[in-house]
Amino acid sequence: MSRFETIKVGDRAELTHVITAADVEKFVDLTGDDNKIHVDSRFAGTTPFKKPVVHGMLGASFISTIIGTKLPGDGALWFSQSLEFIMPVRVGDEITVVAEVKNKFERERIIELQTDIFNQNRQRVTTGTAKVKIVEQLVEEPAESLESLKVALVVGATGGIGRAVATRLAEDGFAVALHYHSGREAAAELQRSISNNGQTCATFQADIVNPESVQAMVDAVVRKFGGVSVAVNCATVKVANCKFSQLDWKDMQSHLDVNIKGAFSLSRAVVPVMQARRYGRIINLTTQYTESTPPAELLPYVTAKAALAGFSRALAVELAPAGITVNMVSPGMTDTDLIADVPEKTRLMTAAKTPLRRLAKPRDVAGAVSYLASEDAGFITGETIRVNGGQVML
Amino acid sequence: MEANRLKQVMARIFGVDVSAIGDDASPDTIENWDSLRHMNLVLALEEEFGIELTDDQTVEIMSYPLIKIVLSEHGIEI
Repeated sequence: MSRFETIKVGDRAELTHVITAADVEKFVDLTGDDNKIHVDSRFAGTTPFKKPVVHGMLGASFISTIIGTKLPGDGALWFSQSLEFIMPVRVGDEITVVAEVKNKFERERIIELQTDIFNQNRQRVTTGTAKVKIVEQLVEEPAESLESLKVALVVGATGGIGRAVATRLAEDGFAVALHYHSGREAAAELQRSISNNGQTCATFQADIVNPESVQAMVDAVVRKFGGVSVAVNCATVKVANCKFSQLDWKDMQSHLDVNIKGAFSLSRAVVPVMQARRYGRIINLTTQYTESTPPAELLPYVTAKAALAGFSRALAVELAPAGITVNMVSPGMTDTDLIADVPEKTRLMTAAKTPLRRLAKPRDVAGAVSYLASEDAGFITGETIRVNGGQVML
Repeated sequence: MEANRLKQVMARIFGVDVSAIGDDASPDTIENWDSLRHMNLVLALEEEFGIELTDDQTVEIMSYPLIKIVLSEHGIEI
Protein backbone atom coordinates (compact mmCIF):
# COMPACT_ATOMS: atom_id res chain seq x y z
CA MET A 1 0.00 0.00 0.00
CA SER A 2 1.36 3.43 -0.89
CA ARG A 3 1.95 6.07 1.76
CA PHE A 4 -0.89 8.17 0.33
CA GLU A 5 -3.31 5.29 0.72
CA THR A 6 -2.34 4.69 4.37
CA ILE A 7 -3.11 8.27 5.37
CA LYS A 8 -6.63 8.96 6.63
CA VAL A 9 -8.49 12.18 7.30
CA GLY A 10 -8.07 12.86 11.03
CA ASP A 11 -4.54 11.45 11.25
CA ARG A 12 -2.43 13.60 13.57
CA ALA A 13 1.21 14.10 14.34
CA GLU A 14 2.88 16.39 16.81
CA LEU A 15 6.21 17.30 18.29
CA THR A 16 7.37 19.49 21.12
CA HIS A 17 10.41 21.67 21.37
CA VAL A 18 11.74 24.13 23.92
CA ILE A 19 12.94 27.26 22.19
CA THR A 20 16.43 28.21 23.39
CA ALA A 21 18.63 31.25 22.93
CA ALA A 22 20.92 28.99 20.88
CA ASP A 23 18.01 28.27 18.51
CA VAL A 24 17.56 32.00 17.92
CA GLU A 25 21.30 32.48 17.37
CA LYS A 26 21.38 29.65 14.83
CA PHE A 27 18.35 31.07 13.05
CA VAL A 28 20.03 34.48 12.85
CA ASP A 29 23.22 32.86 11.56
CA LEU A 30 21.30 30.96 8.91
CA THR A 31 18.93 33.66 7.69
CA GLY A 32 20.75 36.87 8.60
CA ASP A 33 17.56 38.18 10.18
CA ASP A 34 18.98 39.99 13.23
CA ASN A 35 16.01 42.32 13.64
CA LYS A 36 16.45 43.87 17.08
CA ILE A 37 12.95 42.85 18.12
CA HIS A 38 14.32 39.29 18.14
CA VAL A 39 17.83 39.72 19.52
CA ASP A 40 18.15 42.96 21.48
CA SER A 41 16.53 42.96 24.93
CA ARG A 42 16.97 46.72 25.38
CA PHE A 43 15.36 47.49 22.05
CA ALA A 44 12.54 45.02 22.65
CA GLY A 45 11.97 46.62 26.04
CA THR A 46 11.02 49.86 24.32
CA THR A 47 8.31 48.12 22.28
CA PRO A 48 4.88 46.86 23.33
CA PHE A 49 6.36 43.34 23.43
CA LYS A 50 8.71 44.37 26.29
CA LYS A 51 10.96 41.34 25.73
CA PRO A 52 12.51 39.82 22.58
CA VAL A 53 10.15 37.82 20.38
CA VAL A 54 11.31 34.60 18.73
CA HIS A 55 11.21 34.70 14.91
CA GLY A 56 7.82 33.40 13.82
CA MET A 57 9.40 31.38 11.07
CA LEU A 58 11.64 29.63 13.58
CA GLY A 59 8.62 28.03 15.20
CA ALA A 60 7.00 27.53 11.82
CA SER A 61 10.06 25.68 10.61
CA PHE A 62 9.01 22.81 12.88
CA ILE A 63 5.94 22.41 10.66
CA SER A 64 8.48 21.38 8.06
CA THR A 65 9.88 18.84 10.51
CA ILE A 66 6.46 17.30 11.06
CA ILE A 67 5.60 17.19 7.38
CA GLY A 68 9.00 15.90 6.33
CA THR A 69 9.43 13.30 9.02
CA LYS A 70 6.02 12.29 10.34
CA LEU A 71 2.96 13.25 8.35
CA PRO A 72 3.31 12.24 5.60
CA GLY A 73 7.12 11.84 6.05
CA ASP A 74 9.48 10.70 3.31
CA GLY A 75 8.34 11.80 -0.11
CA ALA A 76 6.48 14.87 1.15
CA LEU A 77 6.49 17.78 -1.27
CA TRP A 78 5.24 20.77 0.75
CA PHE A 79 4.01 23.25 -1.78
CA SER A 80 1.57 25.54 0.01
CA GLN A 81 1.28 27.03 3.47
CA SER A 82 -0.82 29.76 5.00
CA LEU A 83 0.35 31.18 8.31
CA GLU A 84 -1.02 33.48 10.93
CA PHE A 85 1.13 34.42 13.90
CA ILE A 86 -1.33 34.98 16.71
CA MET A 87 0.84 35.37 19.81
CA PRO A 88 4.54 36.01 20.42
CA VAL A 89 6.84 33.13 21.33
CA ARG A 90 9.68 33.74 23.77
CA VAL A 91 12.94 31.98 24.50
CA GLY A 92 12.15 29.25 27.02
CA ASP A 93 8.66 28.55 25.68
CA GLU A 94 7.81 24.92 25.00
CA ILE A 95 5.99 24.77 21.71
CA THR A 96 3.85 21.88 20.54
CA VAL A 97 3.45 21.68 16.78
CA VAL A 98 0.38 19.77 15.64
CA ALA A 99 -0.59 18.69 12.14
CA GLU A 100 -3.92 17.05 11.33
CA VAL A 101 -5.15 15.78 7.98
CA LYS A 102 -8.27 17.71 6.92
CA ASN A 103 -8.67 16.60 3.32
CA LYS A 104 -7.31 14.13 0.79
CA PHE A 105 -7.35 14.76 -2.95
CA GLU A 106 -7.03 11.34 -4.57
CA ARG A 107 -6.35 12.36 -8.13
CA GLU A 108 -3.53 14.77 -7.30
CA ARG A 109 -2.30 12.64 -4.35
CA ILE A 110 -2.42 15.74 -2.17
CA ILE A 111 -3.28 16.05 1.51
CA GLU A 112 -4.39 19.21 3.27
CA LEU A 113 -3.23 19.67 6.84
CA GLN A 114 -4.35 21.95 9.62
CA THR A 115 -1.11 23.15 11.20
CA ASP A 116 -1.14 24.74 14.64
CA ILE A 117 1.50 25.65 17.17
CA PHE A 118 0.66 25.89 20.87
CA ASN A 119 2.74 27.17 23.77
CA GLN A 120 3.13 25.49 27.15
CA ASN A 121 -0.07 27.17 28.33
CA ARG A 122 -1.96 25.48 25.47
CA GLN A 123 -2.46 28.88 23.82
CA ARG A 124 -2.45 28.78 20.03
CA VAL A 125 0.47 30.94 18.87
CA THR A 126 0.46 30.10 15.18
CA THR A 127 -2.15 28.64 12.86
CA GLY A 128 -2.38 27.82 9.19
CA THR A 129 -3.07 25.30 6.47
CA ALA A 130 -0.55 23.24 4.54
CA LYS A 131 -0.89 21.40 1.26
CA VAL A 132 1.44 18.54 0.62
CA LYS A 133 1.85 16.31 -2.41
CA ILE A 134 3.03 12.81 -1.69
CA VAL A 135 5.65 11.67 -4.12
CA GLU A 136 5.94 7.88 -4.23
CA GLN A 137 9.10 6.03 -5.18
CA LEU A 138 9.02 4.64 -8.70
CA VAL A 139 10.93 1.56 -7.62
CA GLU A 140 10.42 0.10 -4.17
CA GLU A 141 13.52 -0.47 -2.09
CA PRO A 142 14.03 -4.14 -1.31
CA ALA A 143 12.92 -4.95 2.23
CA GLU A 144 15.88 -5.24 4.55
CA SER A 145 16.26 -8.59 6.20
CA LEU A 146 16.24 -8.79 9.98
CA GLU A 147 19.86 -9.83 10.09
CA SER A 148 21.15 -7.10 7.82
CA LEU A 149 20.11 -4.22 10.05
CA LYS A 150 23.04 -3.48 12.31
CA VAL A 151 22.39 -0.13 13.92
CA ALA A 152 23.57 0.62 17.45
CA LEU A 153 22.46 3.64 19.41
CA VAL A 154 24.99 4.45 22.11
CA VAL A 155 23.57 6.79 24.72
CA GLY A 156 26.27 8.71 26.53
CA ALA A 157 28.77 8.11 23.75
CA THR A 158 31.05 10.95 24.80
CA GLY A 159 31.90 9.42 28.19
CA GLY A 160 34.90 7.16 28.70
CA ILE A 161 32.97 3.89 28.47
CA GLY A 162 30.51 5.18 25.86
CA ARG A 163 33.34 6.18 23.57
CA ALA A 164 34.96 2.75 23.82
CA VAL A 165 31.61 1.04 23.27
CA ALA A 166 30.82 3.14 20.20
CA THR A 167 34.27 2.53 18.74
CA ARG A 168 34.02 -1.22 19.33
CA LEU A 169 30.51 -1.54 17.87
CA ALA A 170 31.64 0.39 14.79
CA GLU A 171 34.52 -2.08 14.45
CA ASP A 172 31.94 -4.87 14.74
CA GLY A 173 30.18 -3.50 11.67
CA PHE A 174 27.36 -1.54 13.27
CA ALA A 175 26.29 1.83 12.00
CA VAL A 176 26.60 3.72 15.26
CA ALA A 177 24.35 6.55 16.43
CA LEU A 178 26.41 8.61 18.85
CA HIS A 179 24.24 10.32 21.43
CA TYR A 180 25.52 13.32 23.31
CA HIS A 181 23.90 15.78 25.68
CA SER A 182 26.16 18.80 25.94
CA GLY A 183 29.46 17.48 24.57
CA ARG A 184 28.92 18.46 20.97
CA GLU A 185 32.65 18.84 20.29
CA ALA A 186 33.54 15.53 21.92
CA ALA A 187 30.84 13.81 19.86
CA ALA A 188 32.11 15.43 16.66
CA GLU A 189 35.65 14.33 17.47
CA LEU A 190 34.46 10.75 18.09
CA GLN A 191 32.53 10.85 14.84
CA ARG A 192 35.68 11.91 12.99
CA SER A 193 37.68 9.16 14.68
CA ILE A 194 35.21 6.44 13.69
CA SER A 195 34.63 7.82 10.20
CA ASN A 196 38.37 7.97 9.57
CA ASN A 197 38.42 4.20 9.99
CA GLY A 198 35.88 3.91 7.18
CA GLN A 199 33.06 3.06 9.59
CA THR A 200 29.57 4.55 9.69
CA CYS A 201 28.29 6.82 12.42
CA ALA A 202 26.40 10.03 13.08
CA THR A 203 25.83 12.23 16.12
CA PHE A 204 22.48 12.89 17.77
CA GLN A 205 21.76 15.35 20.58
CA ALA A 206 19.17 14.62 23.26
CA ASP A 207 18.44 15.31 26.89
CA ILE A 208 18.11 11.79 28.28
CA VAL A 209 15.80 12.91 31.10
CA ASN A 210 13.36 14.47 28.65
CA PRO A 211 11.12 11.78 27.07
CA GLU A 212 10.20 13.98 24.08
CA SER A 213 13.84 14.71 23.41
CA VAL A 214 14.71 10.99 23.57
CA GLN A 215 11.82 10.12 21.25
CA ALA A 216 12.92 12.77 18.78
CA MET A 217 16.46 11.37 18.87
CA VAL A 218 15.29 7.81 18.21
CA ASP A 219 13.04 9.05 15.39
CA ALA A 220 16.04 10.79 13.88
CA VAL A 221 18.21 7.67 14.21
CA VAL A 222 15.53 5.57 12.54
CA ARG A 223 15.28 8.05 9.71
CA LYS A 224 19.04 8.14 9.29
CA PHE A 225 19.84 4.44 9.55
CA GLY A 226 16.50 2.69 8.99
CA GLY A 227 16.04 1.37 12.52
CA VAL A 228 17.74 0.54 15.79
CA SER A 229 18.82 -3.02 16.52
CA VAL A 230 20.98 -2.32 19.57
CA ALA A 231 20.59 0.34 22.25
CA VAL A 232 23.38 0.75 24.78
CA ASN A 233 22.71 3.01 27.73
CA CYS A 234 25.98 4.41 29.08
CA ALA A 235 24.47 7.60 30.49
CA THR A 236 25.39 8.35 34.05
CA VAL A 237 25.90 11.13 36.55
CA LYS A 238 29.34 12.12 37.74
CA VAL A 239 30.10 10.18 40.91
CA ALA A 240 30.93 12.30 43.94
CA ASN A 241 31.29 11.10 47.51
CA CYS A 242 28.72 12.58 49.88
CA LYS A 243 27.60 11.50 53.33
CA PHE A 244 23.94 10.54 53.78
CA SER A 245 23.52 13.31 56.35
CA GLN A 246 24.53 15.90 53.76
CA LEU A 247 22.42 14.61 50.87
CA ASP A 248 19.42 16.46 49.51
CA TRP A 249 16.67 14.69 47.64
CA LYS A 250 17.76 16.51 44.49
CA ASP A 251 21.03 14.55 44.65
CA MET A 252 18.99 11.36 44.60
CA GLN A 253 16.66 12.69 41.94
CA SER A 254 19.44 13.58 39.52
CA HIS A 255 20.79 10.02 39.64
CA LEU A 256 17.31 8.49 39.40
CA ASP A 257 16.42 10.77 36.52
CA VAL A 258 19.42 9.84 34.39
CA ASN A 259 19.48 6.16 35.28
CA ILE A 260 15.80 5.25 35.55
CA LYS A 261 13.83 7.93 33.77
CA GLY A 262 16.50 7.89 31.06
CA ALA A 263 16.38 4.11 30.68
CA PHE A 264 12.59 4.20 30.71
CA SER A 265 12.41 6.90 28.03
CA LEU A 266 15.03 5.21 25.90
CA SER A 267 13.29 1.84 26.13
CA ARG A 268 9.89 3.36 25.37
CA ALA A 269 11.33 4.94 22.25
CA VAL A 270 13.35 2.02 20.87
CA VAL A 271 11.09 -0.92 21.77
CA PRO A 272 8.41 -0.21 19.12
CA VAL A 273 11.16 0.04 16.50
CA MET A 274 12.66 -3.25 17.65
CA GLN A 275 9.27 -4.95 17.98
CA ALA A 276 8.50 -4.14 14.36
CA ARG A 277 11.44 -6.33 13.37
CA ARG A 278 11.07 -8.78 16.23
CA TYR A 279 14.72 -8.21 17.04
CA GLY A 280 16.51 -6.01 19.52
CA ARG A 281 19.22 -5.77 22.10
CA ILE A 282 19.04 -3.36 25.02
CA ILE A 283 22.16 -3.15 27.17
CA ASN A 284 22.30 -1.09 30.34
CA LEU A 285 25.47 -0.20 32.20
CA THR A 286 25.22 -0.86 35.94
CA THR A 287 27.95 -1.28 38.57
CA GLN A 288 29.40 -4.06 40.70
CA TYR A 289 28.41 -2.03 43.73
CA THR A 290 24.85 -3.29 43.32
CA GLU A 291 26.04 -6.84 43.95
CA SER A 292 28.58 -6.42 46.71
CA THR A 293 29.17 -4.25 49.75
CA PRO A 294 29.20 -0.77 48.23
CA PRO A 295 31.72 1.87 49.22
CA ALA A 296 30.52 4.52 51.66
CA GLU A 297 29.09 7.85 50.55
CA LEU A 298 27.83 6.79 47.11
CA LEU A 299 24.21 6.33 48.11
CA PRO A 300 22.52 8.11 45.16
CA TYR A 301 24.69 6.34 42.59
CA VAL A 302 24.32 2.88 44.12
CA THR A 303 20.57 3.32 44.63
CA ALA A 304 19.98 4.41 41.05
CA LYS A 305 22.13 1.65 39.57
CA ALA A 306 20.39 -0.97 41.75
CA ALA A 307 17.07 0.34 40.46
CA LEU A 308 18.38 0.13 36.91
CA ALA A 309 19.34 -3.51 37.49
CA GLY A 310 15.80 -4.29 38.65
CA PHE A 311 14.33 -2.33 35.77
CA SER A 312 16.45 -4.27 33.28
CA ARG A 313 15.45 -7.68 34.58
CA ALA A 314 11.77 -6.77 34.76
CA LEU A 315 11.89 -5.37 31.23
CA ALA A 316 13.75 -8.45 29.99
CA VAL A 317 10.85 -10.68 31.03
CA GLU A 318 8.30 -8.53 29.24
CA LEU A 319 10.24 -8.05 26.02
CA ALA A 320 11.61 -11.55 25.56
CA PRO A 321 8.56 -12.85 23.62
CA ALA A 322 9.08 -9.99 21.17
CA GLY A 323 12.62 -11.13 20.42
CA ILE A 324 14.20 -8.32 22.39
CA THR A 325 16.85 -9.07 24.99
CA VAL A 326 17.72 -6.79 27.90
CA ASN A 327 21.03 -7.32 29.60
CA MET A 328 23.50 -5.49 31.79
CA VAL A 329 27.20 -4.97 31.90
CA SER A 330 28.44 -4.35 35.41
CA PRO A 331 31.94 -2.93 35.57
CA GLY A 332 34.09 -2.47 38.61
CA MET A 333 35.90 0.80 39.07
CA THR A 334 36.81 1.80 35.53
CA ASP A 335 39.63 4.09 34.54
CA THR A 336 37.65 7.01 33.08
CA ASP A 337 37.00 10.68 33.79
CA LEU A 338 34.08 9.56 35.95
CA ILE A 339 36.51 8.66 38.72
CA ALA A 340 38.72 11.71 38.28
CA ASP A 341 37.85 12.81 41.80
CA VAL A 342 38.50 9.41 43.38
CA PRO A 343 41.75 9.60 45.41
CA GLU A 344 44.73 7.79 43.93
CA LYS A 345 45.03 5.73 47.12
CA THR A 346 41.51 4.38 46.61
CA ARG A 347 42.29 3.51 43.00
CA LEU A 348 45.54 1.76 43.93
CA MET A 349 43.89 -0.14 46.76
CA THR A 350 41.03 -1.20 44.52
CA ALA A 351 43.51 -2.48 41.95
CA ALA A 352 45.55 -4.22 44.65
CA LYS A 353 42.45 -6.00 46.00
CA THR A 354 41.32 -7.07 42.53
CA PRO A 355 42.36 -10.62 41.63
CA LEU A 356 43.48 -9.44 38.18
CA ARG A 357 45.31 -6.55 39.88
CA ARG A 358 44.11 -3.58 37.91
CA LEU A 359 41.10 -1.37 37.33
CA ALA A 360 38.78 -2.07 34.42
CA LYS A 361 39.59 -0.30 31.19
CA PRO A 362 36.82 1.08 28.96
CA ARG A 363 37.73 -1.45 26.28
CA ASP A 364 37.11 -4.29 28.75
CA VAL A 365 33.56 -3.03 29.17
CA ALA A 366 33.17 -2.52 25.43
CA GLY A 367 34.15 -6.13 24.83
CA ALA A 368 31.31 -7.36 27.03
CA VAL A 369 28.85 -5.01 25.33
CA SER A 370 30.05 -6.23 21.95
CA TYR A 371 29.27 -9.80 22.94
CA LEU A 372 25.79 -8.99 24.25
CA ALA A 373 25.08 -7.03 21.06
CA SER A 374 26.13 -9.95 18.89
CA GLU A 375 24.16 -12.80 17.36
CA ASP A 376 25.99 -15.15 19.71
CA ALA A 377 24.16 -13.69 22.71
CA GLY A 378 20.73 -14.36 21.26
CA PHE A 379 19.64 -16.70 24.06
CA ILE A 380 20.80 -14.49 26.92
CA THR A 381 18.43 -12.05 28.58
CA GLY A 382 18.07 -10.50 32.03
CA GLU A 383 21.71 -11.37 32.58
CA THR A 384 24.64 -9.39 33.92
CA ILE A 385 28.19 -9.67 32.66
CA ARG A 386 30.54 -8.60 35.44
CA VAL A 387 33.65 -6.87 34.20
CA ASN A 388 35.50 -6.49 37.50
CA GLY A 389 38.68 -8.55 37.34
CA GLY A 390 37.24 -11.03 39.83
CA GLN A 391 36.27 -8.59 42.59
CA VAL A 392 32.75 -9.99 42.74
CA MET A 393 32.06 -13.62 41.87
CA LEU A 394 28.51 -14.90 42.15
CA MET B 1 67.00 9.82 48.77
CA GLU B 2 63.83 9.01 50.74
CA ALA B 3 62.89 6.48 48.08
CA ASN B 4 66.15 4.64 48.64
CA ARG B 5 65.55 4.74 52.39
CA LEU B 6 62.12 3.16 51.94
CA LYS B 7 63.40 0.50 49.57
CA GLN B 8 66.19 -0.42 51.99
CA VAL B 9 63.66 -0.92 54.78
CA MET B 10 61.53 -3.11 52.55
CA ALA B 11 64.55 -5.09 51.29
CA ARG B 12 65.68 -5.74 54.86
CA ILE B 13 62.24 -6.90 56.01
CA PHE B 14 61.61 -9.12 52.99
CA GLY B 15 65.17 -10.47 52.87
CA VAL B 16 65.85 -9.48 49.27
CA ASP B 17 68.31 -7.25 47.47
CA VAL B 18 67.24 -3.62 47.28
CA SER B 19 67.31 -3.91 43.49
CA ALA B 20 64.40 -6.34 43.79
CA ILE B 21 62.18 -3.59 45.20
CA GLY B 22 60.70 -2.07 42.06
CA ASP B 23 58.36 0.89 41.85
CA ASP B 24 55.47 -1.59 41.52
CA ALA B 25 56.61 -3.83 44.40
CA SER B 26 53.79 -5.75 46.04
CA PRO B 27 53.07 -9.24 47.38
CA ASP B 28 52.66 -10.20 43.71
CA THR B 29 56.29 -9.35 42.91
CA ILE B 30 57.98 -10.21 46.23
CA GLU B 31 57.44 -13.77 47.26
CA ASN B 32 58.49 -13.17 50.89
CA TRP B 33 55.82 -10.48 51.44
CA ASP B 34 53.58 -12.59 53.63
CA SER B 35 51.26 -11.56 56.45
CA LEU B 36 53.91 -11.95 59.16
CA ARG B 37 56.50 -9.87 57.31
CA HIS B 38 53.79 -7.34 56.51
CA MET B 39 53.40 -6.68 60.23
CA ASN B 40 57.18 -6.46 60.56
CA LEU B 41 57.10 -3.91 57.73
CA VAL B 42 54.58 -1.82 59.67
CA LEU B 43 56.84 -1.73 62.72
CA ALA B 44 59.94 -1.03 60.62
CA LEU B 45 58.29 1.86 58.79
CA GLU B 46 57.12 3.37 62.08
CA GLU B 47 60.61 3.12 63.51
CA GLU B 48 62.48 4.30 60.41
CA PHE B 49 60.27 7.32 59.74
CA GLY B 50 59.24 8.08 63.33
CA ILE B 51 55.54 7.79 62.67
CA GLU B 52 52.58 5.78 63.95
CA LEU B 53 50.36 4.16 61.34
CA THR B 54 46.63 3.98 61.97
CA ASP B 55 44.83 0.64 61.91
CA ASP B 56 43.52 1.46 58.43
CA GLN B 57 46.95 2.43 57.17
CA THR B 58 48.49 -0.86 58.31
CA VAL B 59 46.06 -2.55 55.92
CA GLU B 60 46.44 0.03 53.15
CA ILE B 61 50.20 -0.37 52.62
CA MET B 62 49.63 -3.12 50.08
CA SER B 63 52.29 -2.03 47.60
CA TYR B 64 55.22 0.35 47.16
CA PRO B 65 53.00 3.05 45.54
CA LEU B 66 50.51 2.75 48.41
CA ILE B 67 53.26 2.95 51.03
CA LYS B 68 54.42 6.18 49.37
CA ILE B 69 50.90 7.62 49.62
CA VAL B 70 50.51 6.59 53.27
CA LEU B 71 53.90 8.09 54.15
CA SER B 72 52.88 11.30 52.37
CA GLU B 73 49.89 11.43 54.72
CA HIS B 74 52.48 11.70 57.49
CA GLY B 75 54.32 14.49 55.66
CA ILE B 76 57.03 12.25 54.25
CA GLU B 77 57.34 12.70 50.50
CA ILE B 78 59.10 9.90 48.67
